[in-house]
Amino acid sequence: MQQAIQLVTGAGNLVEALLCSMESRHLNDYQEVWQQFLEATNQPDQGWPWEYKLRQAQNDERFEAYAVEVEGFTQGLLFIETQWHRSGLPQRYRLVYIQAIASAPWNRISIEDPPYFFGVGRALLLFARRRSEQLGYQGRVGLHALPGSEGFYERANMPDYGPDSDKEGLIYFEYGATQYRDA
Amino acid sequence: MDEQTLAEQFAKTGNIMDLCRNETWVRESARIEAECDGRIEAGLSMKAYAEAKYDASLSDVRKAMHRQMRIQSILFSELRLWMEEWEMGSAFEATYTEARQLIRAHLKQPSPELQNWVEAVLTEDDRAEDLAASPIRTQTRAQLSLMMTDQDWATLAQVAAGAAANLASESVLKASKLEPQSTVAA
Repeated sequence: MQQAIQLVTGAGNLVEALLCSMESRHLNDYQEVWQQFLEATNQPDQGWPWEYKLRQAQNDERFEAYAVEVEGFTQGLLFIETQWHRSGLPQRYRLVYIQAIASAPWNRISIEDPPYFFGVGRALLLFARRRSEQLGYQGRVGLHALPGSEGFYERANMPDYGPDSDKEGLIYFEYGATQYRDA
Repeated sequence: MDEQTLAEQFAKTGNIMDLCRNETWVRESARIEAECDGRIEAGLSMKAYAEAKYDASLSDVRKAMHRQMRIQSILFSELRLWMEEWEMGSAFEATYTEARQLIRAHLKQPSPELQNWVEAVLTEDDRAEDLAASPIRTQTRAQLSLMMTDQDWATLAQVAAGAAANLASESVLKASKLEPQSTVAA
């Protein structure tokens, strides 16, 4: 899968980017470069969570992993589960559940101001909705936003269903059905 | 996400992802992410990554990451174009992935000549508005060629051969599991 997209640089220029299936080379970028930030900040999770995710995506059809790259380098990652998760609504609709989504450290303003690229998160979120449509889930997508990221999902008009005690109190967001059918 | 906009895009092109090539939509994405500090992380497994706090003491790490991202972007994008000319077919991905790792290894222990070129191209990259104004960057393929050792070439040849053999073997095994298309006459 390959989808040509555009991002915006911190200076405001449009650049060409590629949204594609995650491969080993994307994992290498995460481990060799992104992860330096985690190591420098002494965060407890020193494992390589994306190595496991990539393996799951390659070996189990329930899981899919995607990357955004610019000039051959990874700028964002997305990992979704497509069969087991259900809507938080009483109807328990099937949906695409975003198990992990991240943009590269230099795309965060607190780390690099201006950041290197804008638009990685919204492109990946839109792609999750498209996958939901393609799978017959009518665009339904759910996720648990991490502290500091809730504002992004609110601004992306993703309905907020409040804290989830099963997920350390993280706020659960869920898109409902879209107004069109792509299945 | 404006549902009406998604419906209109779908009616227009049949693919909502085409919004990611619509300047108005892309710039709106930039505004939204800027308002949120670029923080978009979700999922418990990304908790440590999302909670990692930047402070002034990490400025060297930030600069190192930024430099690595830029030099690797410059080298890997040219590497891809170069390797696509080799017409490796299904062995491309594995060979390209290995080549990236070999280049990373050289960047970790650069020769004085490579170090000088890296400094020059990154300085140019900071200032250049476009590739046409980047004479040092036009030397990238030549630098890649200089970087590769005989051992590197042998490794790439081995990886390419292994990948091609694996894919051929998978195709044969897949074919062996297919139902016969027709009955053979006695």
